[in-house]
Amino acid sequence: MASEVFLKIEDLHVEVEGNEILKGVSLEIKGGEVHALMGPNGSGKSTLAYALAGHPRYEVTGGRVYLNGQDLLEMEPDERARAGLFLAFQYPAEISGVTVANFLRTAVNARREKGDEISLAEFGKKLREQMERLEMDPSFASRYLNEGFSGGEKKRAEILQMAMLEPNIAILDETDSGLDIDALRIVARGVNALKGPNLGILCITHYQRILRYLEPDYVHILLDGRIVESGGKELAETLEEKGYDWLREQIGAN
Amino acid sequence: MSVETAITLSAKGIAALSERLGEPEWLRAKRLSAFEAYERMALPAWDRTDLAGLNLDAITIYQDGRAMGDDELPEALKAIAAKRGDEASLFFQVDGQCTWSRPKEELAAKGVIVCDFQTALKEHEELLRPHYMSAVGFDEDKLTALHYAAVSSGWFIYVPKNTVVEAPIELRSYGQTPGLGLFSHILVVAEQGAEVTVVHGAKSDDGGVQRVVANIVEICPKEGAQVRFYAMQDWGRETYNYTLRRSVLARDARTDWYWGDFGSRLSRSHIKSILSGTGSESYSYGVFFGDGEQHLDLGITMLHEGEHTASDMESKGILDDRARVVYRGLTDIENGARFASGFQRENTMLLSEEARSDAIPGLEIDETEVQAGHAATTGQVDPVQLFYLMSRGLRRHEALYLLVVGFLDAVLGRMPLESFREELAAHIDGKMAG
Ligand SMILES: Nc1ncnc2c1ncn2[C@@H]1O[C@H](COP(=O)(O)OP(=O)(O)OP(=O)(O)O)[C@@H](O)[C@H]1O
Ligand SMILES: [Mg+2]
Repeated sequence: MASEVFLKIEDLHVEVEGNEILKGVSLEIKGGEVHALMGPNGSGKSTLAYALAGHPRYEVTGGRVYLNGQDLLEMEPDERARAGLFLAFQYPAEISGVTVANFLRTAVNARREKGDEISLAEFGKKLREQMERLEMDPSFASRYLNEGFSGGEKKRAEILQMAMLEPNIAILDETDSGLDIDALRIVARGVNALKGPNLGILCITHYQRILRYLEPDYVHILLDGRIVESGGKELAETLEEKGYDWLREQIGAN
Repeated sequence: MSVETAITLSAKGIAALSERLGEPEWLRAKRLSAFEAYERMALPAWDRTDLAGLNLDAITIYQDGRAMGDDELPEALKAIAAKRGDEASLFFQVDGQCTWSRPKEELAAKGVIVCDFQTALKEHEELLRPHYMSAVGFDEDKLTALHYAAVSSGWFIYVPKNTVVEAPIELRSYGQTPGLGLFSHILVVAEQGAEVTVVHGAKSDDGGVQRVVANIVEICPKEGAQVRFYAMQDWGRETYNYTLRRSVLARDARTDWYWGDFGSRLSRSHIKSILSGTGSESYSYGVFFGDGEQHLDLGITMLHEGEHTASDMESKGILDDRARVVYRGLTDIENGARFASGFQRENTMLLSEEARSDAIPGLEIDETEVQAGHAATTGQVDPVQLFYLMSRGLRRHEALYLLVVGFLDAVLGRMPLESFREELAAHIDGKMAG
């Protein structure tokens, strides 16, 4: 049976404060697939992530996006999330006074009908399991969301949220940066554990090292607001060897 | 309750009130001078708080009452009585004169007095007299004069030397009859080394008619005594609320103010601690939440006169719709208050573009060897935080709710009494639900 989970991006144009950053991006991600998105600093990777999540500062000026057949661009950020989209932020916000547990319970319940809220026991069990898997100290549940977390702890907390919210499409914006080798392994394993036919992943990264764990089916290169090259995981290796100049030359040559 | 028993604000009314309450001559004299001052003085011209909407003409200031049965309590008070169970000594006043109480045995056993003023005057006049009007004078402004002219309800609390009252003494003022003015005086005397927690909750159903409230709280902790005073107001939306809370602290005494301001059309709620005794301390931790057309004028003053005195204040509030807060925090360290320390922080979060917050933090220091500081912020909800929460599927109102609760959490966390924190949280929930 064909997977029903998919994200379809067609010729997406995005402006930030009047500057066109994405200049026609097309991409299709199906359930069960892992896509890597690479590209130099400032090429527009985070812009793509924010625009998909519905950040008000990223103005979509052209193109279409469908999530599981629904018009994503018509939806508010919270509707997109409830429709199955998840963005692990490159720089997660700190929310003082709101504990990780309280926040996650609210987020889980936001996906459920009134009167069908998750029981405290069930929620607590699930949270403990997922935290254990990510080797997070149980005390994190009662800490304020991201407040005073180290860079690596924030990234782990993002993946914890992903695990709790069970999205269909997850965009990981440089979740690997700021992680030491052990943390990277734990986080990557955590993501791998969530893989399945109902989850498509777009992993934005500069490095090969996380891709060794995630084993992407496709690698795309974003350069100056356009996807200039797509291929299998060997593309990431080539890139690590040769750098982006190789691609720039190639584009120039064409 | 029938109309014949009501007394209105006038020279005749004040005399009749004094008669009705059967008060001693000294008190009658104070009442009459207060009324004389009231008539003589103009309404206060406060900066940024305009009393133009206040109507004091022939307001009703008193109506007779009697003891109430459990079933006669307004629903809100019934709920509190049920919830509190055995955890607090409860004293309720509805429309000033209708009373209900459920004191714990501890009070009588320890010689602690909690009673209304008429009873206090009959049975404990010698304890009451030196303290009444000791912190707030009758002619500080027209509204303090109004209070002392019209006062007929409230409580006198007396805690003997070295006595520690375990359970909170919880007082509730409730306005049920529309338009009835409420003038309550709470006087707390804590003798040397005594400790007590007092809670005062105020609420009214205004029925679309303006209500005038002028309340005064005087707290007198003697040497080494500690008083924790919790105050929560949820006056109806037609109430003009003037409330002064003041404490004059003896050596090593301590007064803690915990508060929540939610109700009223317009409030002027001012707290002042006069740290005159060496080593005395006072703290103020409170939250406010204004919405609709509410105007809250909140003031906290810590006046350091004695050496080694310490104070701290933290206030956090939310404003929605067209609500406005004027916040006046003053840490005033007098010459001679060596080694004093006084700090303050106030933060306001605006949920609407039309809400307005004027924070006026003041630091007046006339002494060199002190530690002091203040910080104030006002800002809209952080869009980065809001987007982050919404990107997790929280609806806008759910995300705002978490941000508001998170914002207030730090100051709620400073309030030791759980039932009070819960009550404030319920009011915050109520306001957020809209
Ligand atoms: N909020 C913003 N305001 C102004 N300019 C922005 C904003 N966000 C992105 N840009 C600009 O858009 C371009 C693309 O930025 P983006 O963050 O998408 O790059 P990126 O590929 O994620 O880079 P990095 O690898 O450094 O994370 C940059 O030139 C950046 O300065
Ligand atoms: Mg980026």
